[in-house]
Amino acid sequence: MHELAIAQALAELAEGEAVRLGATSVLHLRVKVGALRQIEPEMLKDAFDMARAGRLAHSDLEVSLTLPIVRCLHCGAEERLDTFDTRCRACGSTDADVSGGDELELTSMEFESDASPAPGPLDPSGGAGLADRRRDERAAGAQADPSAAGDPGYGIAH
Amino acid sequence: MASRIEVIRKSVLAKNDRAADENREVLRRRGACMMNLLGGAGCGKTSLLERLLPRLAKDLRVGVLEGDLATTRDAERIAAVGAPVVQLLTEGGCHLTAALVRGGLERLPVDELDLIVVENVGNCVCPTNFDLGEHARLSMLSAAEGDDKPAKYAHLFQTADAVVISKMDLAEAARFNVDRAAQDIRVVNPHAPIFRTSFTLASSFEGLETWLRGCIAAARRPPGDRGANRRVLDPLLA
Repeated sequence: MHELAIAQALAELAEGEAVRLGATSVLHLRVKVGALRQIEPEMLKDAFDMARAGRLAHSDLEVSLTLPIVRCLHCGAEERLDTFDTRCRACGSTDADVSGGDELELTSMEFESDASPAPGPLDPSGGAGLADRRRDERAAGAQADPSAAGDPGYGIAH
Repeated sequence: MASRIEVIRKSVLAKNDRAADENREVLRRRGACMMNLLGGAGCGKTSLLERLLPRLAKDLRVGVLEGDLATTRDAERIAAVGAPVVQLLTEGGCHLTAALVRGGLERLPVDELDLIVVENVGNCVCPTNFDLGEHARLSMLSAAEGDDKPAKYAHLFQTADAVVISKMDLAEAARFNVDRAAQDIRVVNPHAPIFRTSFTLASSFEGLETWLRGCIAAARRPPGDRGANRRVLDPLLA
């Protein structure tokens, strides 16, 4: 039941965003879930119903699935796949690069607020999937900037 | 009262990912490698370490973080082979988090270690979603579990840097078709090396040991070199 752990993390993130945006009540949350995560949307919604509280108590969750793009390293064919099977449909090669399909991202929030504070800057790195992050980290050997995640309680104050 | 929509675009696991990045930074500064060992309950993760750690101990210093829901039994088994070990108890939680691992790292003598092995909670599903800040992810499947598991628990194998198929000495009794399992692993992960081990056959751990030594050497190199090592780490492709 990993959906519950994911739902709790989502509720915590959304509550923090609600505070940041001055929301009094969150109405609607949209999340993007990569098919490779093996997260069942209906189970995630049920788990979110259990996890939501405070400003999220009356929010509903919309889950959209994203599919991985597989590029064949043999013939170059690219395909969006709805299975884990990365074999090339064109030439049958199993030598492939997989990108995307592992997203797990809060994409947007609809909410009510008393005031309209200016929104913070968007976080361009926050939506990267785990495999992308791991791959990028290996490729660059660089450490991700922890302050880039935009958490006001973390690290160096901007 | 007006309602409005705000674009957020933040990772749901951002908090865990930040903690994982902190762990990576702690390890980078000390030149230590960390491996996340994943697999179902009873697939032989602790037994694997009982075989592997004495081989590495000839010239390397290895510490272990043992993740479990309850008991210190696994930590006792690791301590018996002479490795520094910290038991991480999730108290019912089905996976380790980067924050839990951070607490464990603080209790290990990381400065003196070349490798830290994190043995995750026995579970084929939940731990795969949580980055711990590891350099390498080793996913395990035992012959006793059945050759259909790579197809069923694809994310476990898709996110692996290497795969171990353990208990190969039980393959015949368990009617385990290793070619079928390997083929299903290849389908979701074309590049990860696949090692077959038997607890009763000491030589079956040689390939895995070589791969792990490659991971440790790569973690010691300056960060700029690291990207090019991915394939070199794979003994089947090198």
